[in-house]
Amino acid sequence: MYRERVKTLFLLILIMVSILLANEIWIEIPNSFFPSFGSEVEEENTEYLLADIVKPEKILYNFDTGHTVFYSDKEFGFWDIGRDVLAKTLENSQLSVGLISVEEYDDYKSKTSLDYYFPENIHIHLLGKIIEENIPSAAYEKIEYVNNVHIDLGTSPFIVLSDEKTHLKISSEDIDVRVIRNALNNIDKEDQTKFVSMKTSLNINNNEYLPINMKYNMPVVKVKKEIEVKSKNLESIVEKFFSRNPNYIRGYEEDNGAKIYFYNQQILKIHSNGLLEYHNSIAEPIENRELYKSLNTAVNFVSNHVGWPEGSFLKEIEPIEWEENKGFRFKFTYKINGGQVVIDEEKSVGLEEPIEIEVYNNDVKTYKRYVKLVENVENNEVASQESLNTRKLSVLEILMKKENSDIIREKYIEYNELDPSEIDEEELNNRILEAINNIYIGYYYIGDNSVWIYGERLQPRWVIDIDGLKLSFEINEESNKIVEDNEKVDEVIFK
Amino acid sequence: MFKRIISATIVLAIIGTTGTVSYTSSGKISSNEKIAKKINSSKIHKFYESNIEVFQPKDNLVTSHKTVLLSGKAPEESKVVVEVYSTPNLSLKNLTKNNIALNNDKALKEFYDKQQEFFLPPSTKEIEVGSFGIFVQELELKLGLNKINVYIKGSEDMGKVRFIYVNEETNAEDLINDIDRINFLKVFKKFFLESNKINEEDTENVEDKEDIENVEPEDVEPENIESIKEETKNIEEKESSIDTNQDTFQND
Repeated sequence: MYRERVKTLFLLILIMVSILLANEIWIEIPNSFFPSFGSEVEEENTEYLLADIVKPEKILYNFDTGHTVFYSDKEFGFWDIGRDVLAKTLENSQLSVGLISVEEYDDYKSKTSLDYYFPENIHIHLLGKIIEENIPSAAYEKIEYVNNVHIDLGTSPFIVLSDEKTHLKISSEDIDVRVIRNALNNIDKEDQTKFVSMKTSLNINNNEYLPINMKYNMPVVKVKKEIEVKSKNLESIVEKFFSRNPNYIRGYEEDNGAKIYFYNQQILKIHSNGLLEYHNSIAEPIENRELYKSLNTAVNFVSNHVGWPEGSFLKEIEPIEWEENKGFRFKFTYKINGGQVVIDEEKSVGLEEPIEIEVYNNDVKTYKRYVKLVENVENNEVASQESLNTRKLSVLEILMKKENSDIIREKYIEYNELDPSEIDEEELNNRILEAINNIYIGYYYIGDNSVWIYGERLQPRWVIDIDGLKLSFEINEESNKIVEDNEKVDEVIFK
Repeated sequence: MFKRIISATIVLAIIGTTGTVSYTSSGKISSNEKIAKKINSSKIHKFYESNIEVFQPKDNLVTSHKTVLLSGKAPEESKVVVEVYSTPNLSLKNLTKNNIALNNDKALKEFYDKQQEFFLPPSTKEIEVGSFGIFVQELELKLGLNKINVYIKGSEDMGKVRFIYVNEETNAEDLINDIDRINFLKVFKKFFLESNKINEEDTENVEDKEDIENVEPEDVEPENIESIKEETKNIEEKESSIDTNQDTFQND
């Protein structure tokens, strides 16, 4: 009898163990059964990352003899310092907040100051989350979106928050900008690329600044795909998406080398060119889109699924609708040495920026990623030798070349569907100059013919955004043409 | 057998006719030419070919920086000539040495007119104005009165003239901006020591040299901190008075 009882007990244990193991394989326990576990920790993580990802695209430094722009903030960390100054200022209970005119604002730009330009309009409450400080009602009643933060560095510093048309000045006693001033004192102004105000220097009705020389160090860089379809680390990536061993996931390989995995409603596809695509279903009809929640979900998701390349930042926010649901498409890109990686639209990767994610509040519907990482520096020696012997052009010099200006005029007419016979050339020139609303440096993928010899490379170009029409021009003089078709690329590379 | 031949010929015919048809893209170049022709023929004749506009520097500018930015608009593909005239070493320092107060309008105007007589032969530069008709150039000036003459090559009479007065560099403004309030004394001591050091060098030699790289501040021998404070206040006042006196430098 004793033996029988032991046997029964043993059998029971065996059955329970087998049920538990079967659970692991067949049934997923939904997270809603354990709501509080881990979510607090998650939120802290995302706030830290959110402030790292939502940041200015460029920082304009205005000083007595001119202006310069920092495209890379790695060296001095001006944005981190600026965030501190903002937070400490808004903490103050005695603030004076008021709208100022455009003329007064333009005047401030000629005094010693820093301007932080965001690539997208940031809602004022989101700005508050990033600087970790509450925005006083006196401020958010007057301005809803911010795309520029101006910090004056004179004897009585103040801050101006602006969007396209509104400028809100925030001042209080004793705004401490010593840290910024000290950091700026270490910069040799003569060594920096010089920018001029298009409004003051060229009488063009435009708030942009034009570089008149080029002193940035922007070499051609060798890159490699972040994700190789044939490599072994693919398994670890797949595991991150499905949180289980890839051996348990249904998948197959296509003829062109792409690998596809299925699990529940999730699909993960990795193309042979390194493009990663992930699709999932979303929970229920989502009628109200919430920006902060969606952005948090997006940033968190990307950090846990492959991660952020160095220098990543939010480039664009696009509200989207799918069936009856409302959400956002967030587009991110990353910088190499201050130059933003740009995906040429002609490259039919189907992406406008390297990382795109569609989020509906808490759910991720689509996630696409096409990232190239810089290879080891030793390999870049060959590439940098090429750029040592060529002269670097500024945007002013690029605009002054007839072949470039002809292309700009042609593309502008085409893009805006104008009738060329009705336009006076001088008027067209003025219109184009007025419409320039952003100038930055982009890293472009060099056309395919050279890949066999040099490997994959990214080439720096000046990008001029003319009211939505983005045109890029090579920085190095001897090959200064718009790269339009493969023929021209051959000329360029094999000189 | 016959059926086989027919079916084979049909297959061959289908393959032959559905081959890819190649064509050249002629659109881009010719449309460029078309647009260029249309624009050229229309209103460009209206444009005054010797019209030059100079936006910077502003006329009768007083500055403490020796490099100034020249910017403006001119017809596309034209050549612009820039002549920079300067005076030999006549500076405001002489004025203060002779104890002429800087807010004496008449004396200032006399001094200003006198300087114009001493213009040295100009240094000339040619700028090529590219497309979009804009030009930007940095110019090196000397201390004292400078005159800039900008015109389109061939139309010397339709040029633009700018007068710029380059003052001595005073570091007072910078110092005041950098003042670390805790180390107030330290900063003034430094200022005092620097000005004393330079006083020791022979100030007569300075006038013979053409390029003055390290410009000394005003001759000051303050006795105590209060007089140092007064001196900086004076310098501030002088600077602001120079600004407001711009109007008196206008040419008739």
